[in-house]
Amino acid sequence: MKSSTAAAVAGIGQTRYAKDMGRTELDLACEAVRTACDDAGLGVAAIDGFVSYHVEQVAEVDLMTALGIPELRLMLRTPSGGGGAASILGLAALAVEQGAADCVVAFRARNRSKAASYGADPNQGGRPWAKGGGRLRDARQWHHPFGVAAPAHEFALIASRHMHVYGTRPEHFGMQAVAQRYHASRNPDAIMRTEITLDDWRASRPIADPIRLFDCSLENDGAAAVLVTTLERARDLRQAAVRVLSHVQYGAPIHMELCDFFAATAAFGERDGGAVDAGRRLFGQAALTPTDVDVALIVEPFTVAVPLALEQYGFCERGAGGPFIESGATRWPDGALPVNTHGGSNGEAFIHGVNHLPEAVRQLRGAAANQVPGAEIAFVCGAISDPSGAVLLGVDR
Amino acid sequence: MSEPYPRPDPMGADDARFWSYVAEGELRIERCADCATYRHPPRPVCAACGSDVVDWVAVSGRGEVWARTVIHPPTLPAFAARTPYAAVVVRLVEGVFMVGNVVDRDPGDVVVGMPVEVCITEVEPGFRLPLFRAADAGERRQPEDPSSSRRETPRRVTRDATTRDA
Ligand SMILES: [Zn+2]
Repeated sequence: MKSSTAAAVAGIGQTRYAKDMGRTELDLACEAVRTACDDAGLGVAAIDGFVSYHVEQVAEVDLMTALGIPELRLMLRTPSGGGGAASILGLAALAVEQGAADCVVAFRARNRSKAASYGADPNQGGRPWAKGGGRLRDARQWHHPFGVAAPAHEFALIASRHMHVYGTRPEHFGMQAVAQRYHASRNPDAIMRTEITLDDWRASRPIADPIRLFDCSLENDGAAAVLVTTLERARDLRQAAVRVLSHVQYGAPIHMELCDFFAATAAFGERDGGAVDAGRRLFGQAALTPTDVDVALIVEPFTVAVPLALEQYGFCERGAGGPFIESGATRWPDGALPVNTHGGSNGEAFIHGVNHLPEAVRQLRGAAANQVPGAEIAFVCGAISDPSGAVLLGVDR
Repeated sequence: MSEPYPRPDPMGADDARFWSYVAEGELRIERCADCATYRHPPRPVCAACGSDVVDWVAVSGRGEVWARTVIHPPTLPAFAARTPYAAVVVRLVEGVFMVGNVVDRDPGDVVVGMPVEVCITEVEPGFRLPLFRAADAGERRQPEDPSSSRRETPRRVTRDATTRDA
């Protein structure tokens, strides 16, 4: 272990999650940040750093001005959409560990329903073909002329390869969808409160074979934030500190550049690299193994991301992600490794996975709607299909 | 047809060169002039050796379906009238990957592992795309045809200092 200061999550905040909330992203972000500060028992003036995704549309200085933060020492962005979810927490911890800042908020706000607020960033939302006109200047030129344009199309192609190599079945993705919708049905903050069966999943309309509607992340508005400070300071604050045990990032091709994605077959763990190496670093730094993890929050733009992440981070053998789900292992309360206990992206909400962070913290505080009894170690990873990262969190002992 | 195809409008010389060859009816792929590593999509340098000298090689166009999906609504306006349609990722025998469509099979008959070959198709007046058709599996095992006139004319591109500094 390095000799730097230990970091901890001292506060979490989130808005209501819903469609068409009619609020700007700045408004949503302010609420999530203030709620995280209130949760910690700190005033917003204590914040001296912000971390978010590169696709985030709320500028740090706008938050600073709106909230009355006197000084910022740190402003960081990390690549990708869903790939950035765990990384924003990891980078906040890195900044605290290294003394670059004392009180860093990692956040993401999204008004998914309102095209007017998206800005020019093609990653921000709206139908891909409604962004940037009909002429293709970037990586889209290798996809769009062939009718491949939505993340669902790209994930479907990735899923088909996994099915071909490992015998994974569409029902494996469906079983994860069903488990997460069960979790969501018991979570008052979730958008989808109705439980579904595997037959319901089979009856949901096909989006891009093998992906069905119920595999897909929701389209909603909302924001979430986590407040990271030194472990020492966190121990004096309102909530029980949740330690950041280790954090990693890794570079890998994104699903929006499929030619590169398939050229780098580490995407499936077929050789070392990507999440396979990152997982070894993650667990090695914390002197833990995947079997030590009590609950996993796996960012999944589509449910196919869950088996891929389980395999590459070493929770099961390569190619065994589908059967692992089929065994019930990912389903709360009886599964050996409950995954996405808040309901995940198809059940609770989708804000590029930022909502997975407060759930990991609630689990370690013993305050989750679907509480894993005695949970001491939580794993969070960003989308497996992107440049991404992961964190391990632990109770303060 | 409902909406026109989304058309590439590349900003970089490398991307533009790929599409200009397609417009002429050729599939040419960048191959490093120094270490012979193919790369696609086009890139300014060879990731294997760092060379920035490339040959644009007319390739066989043969490969196999590496991944496939069948796409349902909603999708791009240009494709909306064609749903459900198949989309594929093809691994060319040269080792690079391309996204495409298989033109001569029903969507449900496009499967991972099937051999395909490129067919450059005019999908709209004046606009060609490198699409694929099913290929005879036996044909794939033959050595690349050395008599092909297209293969005899790699086009070498050397970047001058001005280009590199830009
Ligand atoms: Zn080379």
